[in-house]
Parts: sequence; structure tokens; C-alpha cells
Amino acid sequence: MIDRRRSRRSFLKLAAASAAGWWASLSPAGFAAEREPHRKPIPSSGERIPVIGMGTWITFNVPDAPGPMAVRREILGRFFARGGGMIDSSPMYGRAEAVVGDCLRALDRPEALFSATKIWTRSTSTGREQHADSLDLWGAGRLDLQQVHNLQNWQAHLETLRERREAGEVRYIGITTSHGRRHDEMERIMRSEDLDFVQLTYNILDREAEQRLLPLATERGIAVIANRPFRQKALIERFEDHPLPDWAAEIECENWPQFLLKFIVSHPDVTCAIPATSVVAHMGENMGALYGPMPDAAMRERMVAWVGDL
Amino acid sequence: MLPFDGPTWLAILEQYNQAIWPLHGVAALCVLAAIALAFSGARFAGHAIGVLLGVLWIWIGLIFFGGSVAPFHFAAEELAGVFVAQGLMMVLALTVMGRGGIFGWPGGRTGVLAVVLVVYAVAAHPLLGHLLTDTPWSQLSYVGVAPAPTMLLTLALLLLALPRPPLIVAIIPFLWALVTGYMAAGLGLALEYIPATLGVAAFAVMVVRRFQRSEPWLDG
Ligand SMILES: NC(=O)c1ccc[n+]([C@@H]2O[C@H](COP(=O)([O-])OP(=O)(O)OC[C@H]3O[C@@H](n4cnc5c(N)ncnc54)[C@H](OP(=O)(O)O)[C@@H]3O)[C@@H](O)[C@H]2O)c1
Repeated sequence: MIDRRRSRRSFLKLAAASAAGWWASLSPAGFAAEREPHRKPIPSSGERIPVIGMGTWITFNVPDAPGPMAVRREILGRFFARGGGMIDSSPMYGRAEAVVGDCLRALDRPEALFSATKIWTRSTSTGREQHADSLDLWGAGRLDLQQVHNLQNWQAHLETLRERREAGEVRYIGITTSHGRRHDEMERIMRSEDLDFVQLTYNILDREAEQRLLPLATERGIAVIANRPFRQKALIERFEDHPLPDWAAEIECENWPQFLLKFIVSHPDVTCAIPATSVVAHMGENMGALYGPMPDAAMRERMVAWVGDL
Repeated sequence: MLPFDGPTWLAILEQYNQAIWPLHGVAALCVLAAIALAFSGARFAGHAIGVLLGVLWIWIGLIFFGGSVAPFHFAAEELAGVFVAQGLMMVLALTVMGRGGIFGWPGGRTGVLAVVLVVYAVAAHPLLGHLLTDTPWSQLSYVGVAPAPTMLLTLALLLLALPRPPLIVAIIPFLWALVTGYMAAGLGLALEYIPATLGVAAFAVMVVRRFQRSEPWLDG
């Protein structure tokens, strides 16, 4: 008798809780809470950044002409409207930094901006000049992240970056590589230097970093930026003629770019991915990966197996 | 590694063409003079062709790569250096050292290939670009001021050097033919495969002529 009463009470409690949950999810506040963009912490500070950022290689290297500039403004507008933060660039990317700077001015410098650029030169003095140019081009007194591009002359440049951090011109410092190159050297630097960020290539087919670099990043408290999430479009071209698996709906993936991005940023050691695009609609698709459920370890294995069979 | 896409490359060409207009006319005069000299067989032709083509290569290096391409390409300075070096080599080899020998109609298939190359570089390249791909005139590459057609014209005229062309001045144009093919693939500009293929073919013919005593299949 007591048991039956207890179970009725717990049933009523459960029903009330579900109803409340259902009501909360319908209310605008509940909806907003559910649609919060995914963020992950930068281990060295605890600051949380959105897990989808954007790159600028090729896509923002455009002439100062009304047509291409208007498209780039719209891309950045969509990026920030959908919850984006990190923009990654480099002096190597031609006019990209200048274009980003112009667009940011046109958008009144959105507060969510997390500026990330690089020093790309063998020369130590040119490295200092590039840093000063970047401050100018981004139109900011301070950059959020300054990285040593492709580990070039990293010893000297890290010195410069530490100095600039002391001077308040940079908040975080890091190093980058790509295409799976020089992982051994990157590992040595990660072990010996005090870094806030590393940037490397990681996507559903290029998973070498899982072996040593990603676990090491977590062990050493270093944030990880995944570049070339689509292998420079090759992955999208490879998969786009195949339908997504039915179970992709469980993680709210409507298209391949979201499937590929959610795979990357659901890795526990990855902080964010930085897909690049020159198309406004593509930016909308990519930013969709910032929301909804993320794959767990079992689902991630399923994702790898699925693309392996295509 | 190309740091821009096809539309940006065409926009760079457009800005450059607008900036140098009407110097295309001056370049065209240099080109026509070089062609006329090459076919004329005049004794001083080699010396004059060295200066005319040399100046055009140096111009493209300094003004096109060093000026227009520089804001967009991290290796623009190096590319400018390569084009300037080719220009200086043309002057040194053909004009100063007279290595071009005499120029004239070689006859046979080599002659036909040279004519095809000249016609393509001077007229067909921009015409086909406009007619087949709808590219505006302002975004096309013109002989004497843009790299691909100038590379082709240079190889064409070198085919007319008798008894055989100095290979040393054909190496950079040949390498640029390869780069043109790479750009055709990377930028999605299918028409650029034509100058790339013609350039490679011209260089292959030169190599054969350089190392074979008789080449009946070329003279056929
Ligand atoms: N060593 C280094 O530090 C290093 C090296 C490589 C990259 N990076 C950084 O990482 C960023 C990303 O890498 P990446 O640019 O090489 O390659 P990526 O982001 O893997 O791919 C970019 C390509 O994907 C296409 N794309 C993007 N979203 C799409 C969508 N929703 N649907 C269809 N196509 C889409 C874009 O074409 P559309 O324009 O047509 O959308 C673009 O061609 C770079 O921009 C750069 O900032 C750094």
C-alpha cells in the first residue's frame, strides 16, 4: 500500500517535472538557453570561446572592390549573428587581414570578436614588423591571439610574442602547423614552452593528431584550434553526393559541413575549428554546428566508420 | 600554392589592365616588331629581339608581379625576381652575347608550331577567353604585358632561332608554362591549359632540336 502510494507520488513528480521541462523548453527563455552556442574554455585562462570560428585563407584575399567587400561584410555579419567569435588570419594570406579589418570597422567591431593572427617569416625583425602591421590592420590596440605560423623561427618569435604579451598587445600566444607536417617538432615545443594555443590540422580523415598532440595539449593545458576542417573543400566534394546517415538527425546535422564540424569539435581535446568560406549561405551552414547536441564517443566512432565506407 | 581563387586572379588582372592602359599598345608594337624581325632573317634581329622581349619580361616582373600581384601573393617578390632575371638573361644572351644566332623561317613542323604559338599568344588567347568564357576584355591577359601569352610568344620566337635556339633562355618560360597549367587547375580556368600545353610542346621541340643532329619528324 505504502509502496503503491510512493510510486504514485514519484510518478506525479516525474510528470510534473516533465511538464515543467516541456513548458520551459517552449518559453523563449528556455529556448534561448537550449540554443546557446557551444563554448569551450581556454585552459590557461578559463575564458570560454565558441567552438566554431572562421579562417580567412584564400576566402578573404580579395580586392578592395565593392562587390567582393560587400560579400565579406555579409559573411562576417552572419558569423557574428550566429554566435561566432574567433577569426584566424595571417600576413601570408595576402589582403585577408586588411579585408577583415575593414569589415570589422563596418560592423562596429562586434564585441564577440576573438582576433587570431600569425607571424609568418624567418626574420625576427620582420616578425616584429608583421605584429605591428597586424595591430594596425585589425584596427585594434590588442590582438587576442598571436601565433607563430608553421613553426618558422619559433624560438625568436615566441620571445617577441612573450614581450608583446607583457606589453598588453596580445592576450594569448601559440604556434601553428598544418597538413600533418612537423608534428614531432610541435610536440617538443608543446612540452618545453609555455603556450596558450596550438593550431593543427584535424578532421574526420586526418586524425593523426589524436595519437599524441591532442592528449598532450590537454595534459599541458593548451587550447587546440583545428584548421583545414574540410581539407580545403576536398571532404565536402568527396561526401556531398552521398546522403547523410539517418542518425545524423540525432545530433541535429542537416548537411555534411555540420556533420564534419561536429565531429571535430566534439573531440574533448579540441577547443574550436576554423572553417573558411567565401559564400554567405555556407557560413550559415557552418555556424549550425555551433548548436544542438554533440556526438558522444560512440557516435564519433560511428561517424568515422560511416565516412570510411563511402 | 595559390593564395587566391579564380575571381580574385581576374580582378587582379582587371586592376592591372586599368592601371597600365594604354600601354598595351606600346607593348603590342614591341611584340609586332619582334615578330617581324624574327621572320625577316635580318642580321641584327637576334640582338633587337633580346632587347624587346627582355624589356617586356622585366616590365611584367616589376609592374605586374611587383606592383599588382604583390598585395595578394606572399611570393610576388620572388616571382618578380624570376621575371626580371629572365628579362636580363634575354638581353645578355641574345643582345650582348649574340647567342641567338640568326633568326628566320625554320620551315617544317617547327615553323608551323612557331606560327601557331605566335597567333595564339597575340590574338587567340584573349579572343577565346572573351568568346568562350565570357570574361570581360578588362580581365584578360594580353601579350607583352601579362605572363602567359608573353611566355608563349618568347618560346615561339626562340623556335625561329637558327640553327637552334639557346636553351638557357627557354628554361624560365618552360617553367612558367608548367605554372600556367597549375594555375589552370587551381583557379578553375580551363582555357589556361592551352598556353600551358603549347608552351610545354614548344620547349620539348627545342630540346629535341638541341640534342638531335637531324630531326626529320620535325622538319617533315
Ligand atoms: N599553418 C596554418 O597555420 C594553417 C594552415 C591551413 C589553414 N589554416 C587556417 O585554417 C583555416 C581553414 O582551413 P582552409 O581554409 O585551408 O580549409 P577548409 O576550411 O577546410 O576549407 C575551406 C573550403 O571549404 C569550402 N566550404 C566552407 N564551408 C562550406 C560549406 N558549408 N559548403 C561547401 N563548401 C564549404 C570553402 O569554399 P566556399 O568558399 O565555396 O564556401 C573553401 O574552399 C584557414 O582559412 C586558415 O585560417 C592555418
